[in-house]
Amino acid sequence: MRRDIYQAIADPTRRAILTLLTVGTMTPNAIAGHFGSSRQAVSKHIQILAECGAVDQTHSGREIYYQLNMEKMKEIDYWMAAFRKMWEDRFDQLDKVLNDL
Amino acid sequence: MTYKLKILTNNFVFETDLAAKKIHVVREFNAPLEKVWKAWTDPDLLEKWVAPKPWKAATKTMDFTVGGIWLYAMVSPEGQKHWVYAKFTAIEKDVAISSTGMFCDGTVTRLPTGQNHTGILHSHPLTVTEQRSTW
Repeated sequence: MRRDIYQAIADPTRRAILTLLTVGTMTPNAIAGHFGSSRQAVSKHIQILAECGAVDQTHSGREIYYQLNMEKMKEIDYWMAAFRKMWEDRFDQLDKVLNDL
Repeated sequence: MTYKLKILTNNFVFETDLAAKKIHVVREFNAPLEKVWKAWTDPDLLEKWVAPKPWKAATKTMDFTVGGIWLYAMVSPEGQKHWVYAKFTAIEKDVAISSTGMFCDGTVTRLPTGQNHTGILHSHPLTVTEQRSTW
């Protein structure tokens, strides 16, 4: 299945994991400790986040650490910028309408 | 000699809250509240500003009452129409408008219910406040 960054943030648990990772790198166990759901369920979410490119993993000894991929997360900003532009342009048009009223 | 300086800043704010799937937009207009309200509620005026250029907005029906529908099309320069169905869910004159809408084929008669719609539904809670400035 093709993954993209929007699938990463489409699920509330995955958004919570991403929020946790803004503080620092974490092991899967440490991440799972923050959720009431099973380790398998959390592990599946982490796997999807990795497939989406939202997180990167590094190995240190026997442990795996996950960290946010900020570059990938910025794609969302670029995408949202188009909406910002749309509202700006729209309101500039509204300025003209109000001027002529 | 004194000049009146036209205020060019409009305090535009565009904040996204991805976790809550929300966009918060704030904008100031250099016009009295009555005119701003009219521009958001009169279809002839709405058509002049809601569509992103070079698209134009064309109203099919407009019923600006609670539960009423604004059915309009975004029309491309080639005449291609993207219909929008917007339902007014709350209106407080000169203060606030809430609407929920979606893109549609121009023939829909109601909004989808339940959780299974395909994510095209959007809500627009709008609040208007007036600030009078003195020179």
